[in-house]
Amino acid sequence: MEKGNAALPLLSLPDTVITSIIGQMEPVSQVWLSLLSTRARSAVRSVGMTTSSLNVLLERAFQFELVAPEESNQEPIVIGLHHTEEDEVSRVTMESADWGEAATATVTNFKMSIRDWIQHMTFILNHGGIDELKLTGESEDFGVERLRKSVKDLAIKTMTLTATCTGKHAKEVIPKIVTPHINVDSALVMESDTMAMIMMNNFTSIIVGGPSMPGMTITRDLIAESQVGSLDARCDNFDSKAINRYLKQWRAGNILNLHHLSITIGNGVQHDADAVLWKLPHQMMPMESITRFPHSAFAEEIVINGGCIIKKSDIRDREQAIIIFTAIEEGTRFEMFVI
Amino acid sequence: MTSPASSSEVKYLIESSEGNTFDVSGAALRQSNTFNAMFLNIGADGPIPFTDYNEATLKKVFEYCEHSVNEENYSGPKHQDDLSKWDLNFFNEMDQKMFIDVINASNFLDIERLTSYCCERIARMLRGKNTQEMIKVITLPTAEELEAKQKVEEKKAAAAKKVAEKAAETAEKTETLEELPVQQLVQTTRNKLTRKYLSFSNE
Repeated sequence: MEKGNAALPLLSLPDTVITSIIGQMEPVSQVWLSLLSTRARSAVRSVGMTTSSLNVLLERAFQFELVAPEESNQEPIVIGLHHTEEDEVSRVTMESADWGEAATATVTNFKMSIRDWIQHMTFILNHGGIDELKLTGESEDFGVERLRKSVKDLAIKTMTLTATCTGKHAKEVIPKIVTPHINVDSALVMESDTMAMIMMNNFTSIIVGGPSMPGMTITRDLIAESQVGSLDARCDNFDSKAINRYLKQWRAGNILNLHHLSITIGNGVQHDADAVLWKLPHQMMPMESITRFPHSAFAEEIVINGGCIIKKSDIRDREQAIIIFTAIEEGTRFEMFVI
Repeated sequence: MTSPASSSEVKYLIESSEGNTFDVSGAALRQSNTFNAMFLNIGADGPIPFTDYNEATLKKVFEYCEHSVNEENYSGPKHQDDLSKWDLNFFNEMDQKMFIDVINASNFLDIERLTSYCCERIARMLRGKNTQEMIKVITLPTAEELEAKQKVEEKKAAAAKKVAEKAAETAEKTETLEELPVQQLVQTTRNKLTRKYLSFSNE
């Protein structure tokens, strides 16, 4: 095959051969190949690129992150879309920590907008939408309206407000972008009154603050009023008494939507069981007792060993909840599962 | 079953698109899953017609099969770096047109090892190239080429269907021969075929 310089009729080859060839190409080449024609695009899609998720990160440029399945031990591939003011993509870069150098290319003759690119990527990856939309301080410059248009009609599984995302930006984005889950990793958001807005929005689940974040003030009243189904937050202002009051509110039937609450109290203080369960009828379960709780946010099951069961005061309401306390390095984690 | 030693001596006649015929050993031919499905147990009267491919291409494909007769069973794609000197020479001495013809024929004959090596070779050729660079290497198919390809795919599907029907028919017939154990039946059919093609090639 070294002889002759005839061009390769790749896409005229039998489908099984094309599939085998594309399957042996690395993801970056598969993406470049998919841009050749609609036929090439369909051929790449039929192979099924080995990515577990497609994330969008608005940072240096409009970026895609193709995350390989965990078992592959491959670093994510980040596709950067450098664009003009008119949203036309002028240059595309592909980077991965697995590669020595970034693969870059100027794609001036494709006339693709950011939206075209998003649709192209979701098509070849056979993804219904975007797994995670990560907002940063720089995405504020991109503009909320442009972002909305770019991801219009695409399902977004999760939105993450990263460390540099401001409260102002979050406030602008939240009403425009529909997503069931939100991760708040920005102290800038947590320090503003945006947190209340997030809590009152119709999110299915909210995760607030990673391990490095300071404890935030999410009040008991705010939790009670929230429409959220699952809340995982670090709240250093919560103590045993506050938890006791919250449980009483739930028992009285004043908390309707919250089915999973996980609160990390990181002040180094261990909980006082007597104070938490004060005047609260309950039943202790042996550690061998196992309850399976389906977690909607991560589509996975949480296995609960033992715990303490409380029931609603209204005997006609058969809802009950399991309470768990776990001693952790920073202090205590309180969890409540309504079953 | 025929032993490996004796099967290598069995010759089959292959007919190319030009109408020419040439010998291929049974051991080499059995690397083709298409042959195994279509002719091994069903039999063929006269030369085996692979008339969609020219003589040069078929000879090249079976040259590869003859060479790899004694290699261990195929167990998935092999990296080009692991190819032997003979394999490398085999690929390097082909021009691009012949290479493409070989892929097409190898794919039709379903010779896994050869098809896989050819595919890996193309994937390697495209490695590290971006879209602009790929455009210089790959020609996009014309409507006529796509139509021709569609016809080939349809022909292949029809052949596969015919094979499945014939196999089912044969299985039905086999069921009626209750006295003969399956192994013995296969052996008898093979012996018949072997004699037929040996005598044919001696003519």
